[in-house]
Amino acid sequence: MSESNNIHWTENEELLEQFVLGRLESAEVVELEKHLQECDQCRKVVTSERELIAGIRLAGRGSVKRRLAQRLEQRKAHSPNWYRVAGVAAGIVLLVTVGVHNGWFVGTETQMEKRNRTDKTEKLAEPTPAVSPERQAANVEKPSGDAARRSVGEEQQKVQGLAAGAPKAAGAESGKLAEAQVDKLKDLKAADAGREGESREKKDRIAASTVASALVTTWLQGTVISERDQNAPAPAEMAANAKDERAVLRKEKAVNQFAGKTSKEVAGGKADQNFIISQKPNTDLPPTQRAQQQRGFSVQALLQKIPTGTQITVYLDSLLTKKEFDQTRVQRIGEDSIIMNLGSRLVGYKLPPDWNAQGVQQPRKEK
Amino acid sequence: MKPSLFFLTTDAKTLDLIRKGDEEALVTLYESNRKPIAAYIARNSGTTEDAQDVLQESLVILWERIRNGRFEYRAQLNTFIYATVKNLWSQRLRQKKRLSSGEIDPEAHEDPSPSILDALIATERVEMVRDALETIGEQCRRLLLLFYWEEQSMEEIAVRLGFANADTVKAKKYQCKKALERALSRLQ
Repeated sequence: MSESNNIHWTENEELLEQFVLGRLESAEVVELEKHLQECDQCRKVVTSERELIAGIRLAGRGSVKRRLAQRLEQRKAHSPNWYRVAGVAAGIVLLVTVGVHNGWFVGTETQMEKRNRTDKTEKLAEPTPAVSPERQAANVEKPSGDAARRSVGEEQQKVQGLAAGAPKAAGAESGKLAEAQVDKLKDLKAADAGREGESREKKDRIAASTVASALVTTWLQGTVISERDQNAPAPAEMAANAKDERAVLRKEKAVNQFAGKTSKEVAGGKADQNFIISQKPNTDLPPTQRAQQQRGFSVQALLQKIPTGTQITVYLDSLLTKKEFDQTRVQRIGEDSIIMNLGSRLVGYKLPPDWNAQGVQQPRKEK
Repeated sequence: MKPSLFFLTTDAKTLDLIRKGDEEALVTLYESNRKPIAAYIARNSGTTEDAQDVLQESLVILWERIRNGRFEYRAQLNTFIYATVKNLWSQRLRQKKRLSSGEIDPEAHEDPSPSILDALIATERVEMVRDALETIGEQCRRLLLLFYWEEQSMEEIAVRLGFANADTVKAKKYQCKKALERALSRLQ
């Protein structure tokens, strides 16, 4: 402790620091303090050193306290305001209570109910069991070609436009039926508009498909233009080959009579690609239509607008064989008439005004 | 004795975090002690702000003690915090009482005793050192804080601040202390 005996031991900065920080042995401390009592200058140095260290420690505490406060503020800013959350929750409970009391949620339907309702709509759109539900569902759910490319809105507009014209052309019964369908579908659409959680696009698609299959459906009464021998060649072949002049003339005459067209125009017609043909026994006809079908002279057909074109279902007293059915063609005569070769018979149909088949695909046949 | 084991485990984790310098541990301690401390301060004529301030101060003391190795784990950390808050709050209440009675108001006494004046002057100087510390470089500030406040060894400081060895830290500390003294003299 030679330095401690020095009159200015505080000049030794390391010793001074150790003394102030309390890191010296007690005996050494006693000796140094004894000197401090005598040395005013050394006392001032020690005081100054103590203040310096106290100031550094104060700064240290202050910085930790400041950082802690910042962290707490950040946490407070990110944590939810429970009073606000409680307020919102109370508001929702109140709203639900009032809603239940006033029956706001009575009309809410589940997904299953919605599907059932859609099925019902489709069934409603089908006046008679003309097309199998699977077939119709396939047509509704899988629009392809031009129909798939059309926007839903455009399709709906077009379909509604056609629907407006359809009842005029069809018989009184089919017109009434179509009107009833229109009303019911309007109601369904109105109900749809109020539903929550259903995307607009999906609703439009369903509505358009439903309307397309429902509104543009009409019964046609076909007139048997000619009937040939079972063993005779098909009219199309005859016309194409021009071998049986008599048969061609007979066909042209009948067509002219039916459609009011010139023989040249008829001859220039070709198989219409827009039609999808199917056949059903006439026992499947609804009673009203069955009454209209005069055996041997008329063939009732159900004309349906589908996304891929036009489906025509013919109701026959005896179904065509596969070969006959394969040979079946639809030939368009002008804007408003078609003729079909159904086995040995050539049948003419007058289409409703403004009927314009769209969404053409390759003709498909269905038995 | 599952609960005590649980607290021991939790406290051990907190102590470890603080020793590593993770200040998030203080936030956790603050949250767990906020309600009882607020209740205590409210019962003793304090406000919510008083409770927040005193709790933060007690956490800083805990931090300081753990960091400089003077903390002895004798009870749960929450118990330590609660006891520190009580001491701090009673000190403040005494201080408020004295101030309201005008005991140490220097302007109320025309001839205040030299000891009181000395204490005030010393307090002022300490605050000046604190302010001066903010004016020196960040590395110097950190080094002086680690050495004088957290009382870390030269070797620890060398690792923390990326110095080559303890001797380098020692030399740097000397320079920083002189820089602080210069800054202090500028403020005075």
